[in-house]
Amino acid sequence: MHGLRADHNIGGLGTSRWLEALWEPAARLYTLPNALDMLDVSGDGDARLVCADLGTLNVNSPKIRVYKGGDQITEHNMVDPPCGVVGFYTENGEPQSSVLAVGVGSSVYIFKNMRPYFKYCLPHIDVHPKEREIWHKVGLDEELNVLTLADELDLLLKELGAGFISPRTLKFLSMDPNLRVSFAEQYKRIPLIKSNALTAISVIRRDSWNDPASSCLVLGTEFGEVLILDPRTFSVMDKHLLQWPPVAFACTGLWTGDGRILIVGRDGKIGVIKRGSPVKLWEKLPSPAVAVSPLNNEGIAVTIMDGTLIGFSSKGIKLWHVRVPGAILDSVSLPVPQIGLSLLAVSTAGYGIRVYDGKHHVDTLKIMEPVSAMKYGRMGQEERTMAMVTVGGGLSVKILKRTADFSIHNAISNLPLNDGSKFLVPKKTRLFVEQTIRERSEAKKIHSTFQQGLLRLRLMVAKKVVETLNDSQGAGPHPLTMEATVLGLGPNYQIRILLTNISDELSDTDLYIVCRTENTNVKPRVMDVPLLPSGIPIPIVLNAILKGRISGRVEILLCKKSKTKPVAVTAVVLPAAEEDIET
Amino acid sequence: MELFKALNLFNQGKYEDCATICTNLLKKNPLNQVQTVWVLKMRALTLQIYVDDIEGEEEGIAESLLDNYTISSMPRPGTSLKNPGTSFTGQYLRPKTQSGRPLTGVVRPATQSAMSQSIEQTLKTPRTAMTARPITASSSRSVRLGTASMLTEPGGPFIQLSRLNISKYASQPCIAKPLFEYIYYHEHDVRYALDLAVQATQVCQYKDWWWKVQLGKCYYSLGLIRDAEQQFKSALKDSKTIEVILRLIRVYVRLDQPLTALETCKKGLEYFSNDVNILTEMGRIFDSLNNMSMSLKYYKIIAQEDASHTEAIASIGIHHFYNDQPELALRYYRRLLQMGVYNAELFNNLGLCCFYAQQYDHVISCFERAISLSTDETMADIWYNVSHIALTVGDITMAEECLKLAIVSDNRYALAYNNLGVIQIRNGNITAARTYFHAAANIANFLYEPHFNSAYLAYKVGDLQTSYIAVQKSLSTYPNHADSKTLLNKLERYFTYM
Repeated sequence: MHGLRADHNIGGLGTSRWLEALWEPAARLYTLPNALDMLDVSGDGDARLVCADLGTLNVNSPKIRVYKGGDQITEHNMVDPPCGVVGFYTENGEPQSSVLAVGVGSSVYIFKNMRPYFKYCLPHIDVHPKEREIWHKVGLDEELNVLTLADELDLLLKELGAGFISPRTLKFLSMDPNLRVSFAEQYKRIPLIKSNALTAISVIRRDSWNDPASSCLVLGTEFGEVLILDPRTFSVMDKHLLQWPPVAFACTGLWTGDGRILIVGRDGKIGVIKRGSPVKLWEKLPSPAVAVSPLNNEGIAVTIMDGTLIGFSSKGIKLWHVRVPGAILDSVSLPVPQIGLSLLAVSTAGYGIRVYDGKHHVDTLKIMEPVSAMKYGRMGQEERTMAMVTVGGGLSVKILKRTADFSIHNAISNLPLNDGSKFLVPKKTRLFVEQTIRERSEAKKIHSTFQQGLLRLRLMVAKKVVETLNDSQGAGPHPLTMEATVLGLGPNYQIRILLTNISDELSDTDLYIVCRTENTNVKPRVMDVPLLPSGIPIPIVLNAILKGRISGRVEILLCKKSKTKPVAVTAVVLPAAEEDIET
Repeated sequence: MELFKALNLFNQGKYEDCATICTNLLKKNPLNQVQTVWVLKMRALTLQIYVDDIEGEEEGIAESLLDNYTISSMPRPGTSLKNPGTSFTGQYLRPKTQSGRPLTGVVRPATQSAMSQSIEQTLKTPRTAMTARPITASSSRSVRLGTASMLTEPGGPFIQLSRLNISKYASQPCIAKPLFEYIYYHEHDVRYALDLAVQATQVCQYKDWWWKVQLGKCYYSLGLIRDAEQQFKSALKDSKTIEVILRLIRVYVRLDQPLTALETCKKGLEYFSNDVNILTEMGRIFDSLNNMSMSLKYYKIIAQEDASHTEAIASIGIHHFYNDQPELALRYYRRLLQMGVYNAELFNNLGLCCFYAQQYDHVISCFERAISLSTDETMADIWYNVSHIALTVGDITMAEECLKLAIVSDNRYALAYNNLGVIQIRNGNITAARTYFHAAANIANFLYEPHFNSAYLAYKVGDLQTSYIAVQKSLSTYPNHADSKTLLNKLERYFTYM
């Protein structure tokens, strides 16, 4: 085995189903889902890990990196950030090196033996006839009338919307009117084109189940098309128009036979295409999809951004949905044909990688950091390897043990669904029953005593309220709240007062704060209150110094200049200070 | 004759008179001839201000914030007092005190200390409560004891510690022990006391367990917790006493190792079966671990052993009250009343129990008595409870007035602000309600109610982002709050909506 060391001591704990092969936290690899693949690029039967590295924010140079085990062997610079990498074979049954396809911008770069081999450009989109007409007319005219051109294009923009206008027009309209002349002069005779952009890339087997077998490239474009390319000539075999941009594919079967491509759109639409039949829309997901993976029984699992995992049957019927804790970052299917299972690994933020068998959670892989992209397949000589790239740029490789058994958990996870949860409700005591008997026999007396008491209490509360709160507090035209906090260790304290105007208008202007103190010096003792806006707490800070060694008390009075009674009063206690804190 | 009189007075507990006679005797004779009198005076002065310092323990701000004996800063739930965890949550959620601890049956040392994590919260919350919390544990005692010694000795201190020949007295066991107690309790000079204890224990070749305990006490009050633990353990090997066991438990509680403390309690119970003091410690530790059922079990054993144990009865009472059995709680509180406890808190609790047990004829009279007995500290609580009764009766105006009275008596009463906010929503004053919720959340961010309320209000108004932030705070203080979860789900649907 090359480069991959199965370290039994670290990951080989009895309970784990995975062997720790590699953990390289400083790989500085930044990848998103769909940008990882494992393929035999050199033809020596040894699969390498190929990943599209987006680079960090400041070093904005996307690269394709090829790893052998934990060591990087080659690196290829890219012009634009790739939207995905896939590997495939061009011939049936010939053990040769596989071809790497990288989707970038509006083209697909094909590498053979890790050398540039071919560049496939997406066909241009037809420009709207009216726009073409306008630019054509400008090209014919000798005299350039920029104002008319701008008016016409502006009208067109309003009519069609920016999505259907060519970049040239948009650029023209966004320019400074003085610069438009030179721009129009420069471009008016050049034919108007509108280039397409690649949104997703995938592969589907062409006509053979043997390994290796030739596969067709599946390309999704921003314009809403799906293109199937012939593996030898790189010409379009089939073309499907969707009207909505696809973002992810899941391909099953043989394209020339009964193969199907499941498509998830950016707006959450999910549909399926077959060769020769138009797209069949299944349904619209409640939120954008993260990833889509095929399961063994022709079913499909889709993870979506609101944290759910949805299973669909091959007919597009929603079978189950599971809530996954934490945000989903990626998901990938783990086919284990030896035990007849097709598991699904879902990478979550904060909860590790959770492995599901259908809707049952069977295992959790703990990784140091959240995993942003992963790929399961053959790496080196090892068939069941999972490569993971973490958010922090680390690379981790784990190997699924041959002895791994996922059936035990399956049985357990079925159980708790059946029994209903029991509530702990304390029983009513005999005492309670006796009391109810008393209540029944003396209902009249109890009621009248309570009502009398309540009246008394009401009176008492009303008296207290009149005593302590005066008319302006609470019920006045501009109610205020005041809360005071003491900060500090003493003997120097800080009193922080928060004044809030809880009416919907501005407060009165002539308010001020006075402190009435015991054992304390407060500075300043009197302070004007600024105009208080509605609902925003305004902090006011006072400094207080204890005079003696016993605790002090400060009464803070909020007063109005024309009134004798304070608007609000609150008191704080300053705790006794430490005798001396030795330093 | 004089000496006999002094001894007699000492035995009668009239320490002050005894000390005066001793002073006179000492004036007449030089010190080395009347060592007996000297020792007697020391004893008399010490016993005047002798305190049971096992109980008088309050963790100060400096200890809770700056000392770091804890082994793990993120302990597993249920293994630490700072993170009691949700492993044992009963079927109810107790309200929290001003510093954020769940309410206990009685106010006892360390129920005031906050669980807060941030420095500002630690400095803010407890010190603005009506009873200010000391900064360090040693200061609260030393201030009190220091003033005591100053008052009793107008003509200068009885013993000049700086001039004391410690090594000489350390070699005389019959003098060393009273002298130690005098220095420790009367003068409260831990460093001299420690010096004496170290030399004395060397003299007796580390065989006297008493000196080991004293060493441990000194280390403990100096903050050298691990050394204290060693001394107490070594003392326990020599002789098993309840005092030392209790002190060792305290050491573990201070070290934030409740499970070890419980283990120590169980070992202690093997020697002193059903000892009320040790059982009380166990009840308290389980209480602070939020394991109410175990706590209840131990308090019940205590109540069987000592039928007039106030703490046990009050704790059982509060458990029944929050366990939806107010009629049982009423029984326990009535028992406290029969025992002669007569204060505002008890009448307040009796009133609440009567109200929730539907014994309406006693409710009002209990609250009236509570109000008439109340002090500044308890006033706010009583008004808050009265506001609940007003709400249940349906008198919103009265409830609002009561809540305002609660705020007047304690302007940091977060729950009162919260409830005022709810009433303001009913009245249609959205701005006022929002301000009240914010005030409540600012004062006590360990309460989930204000966070949830402001989240709900923001949600209704349409401010989804604010609502989301507030509901997350609510869930972080109370992760299982069903309403918050529902609200969060609704919000998430909005945010993921396409």
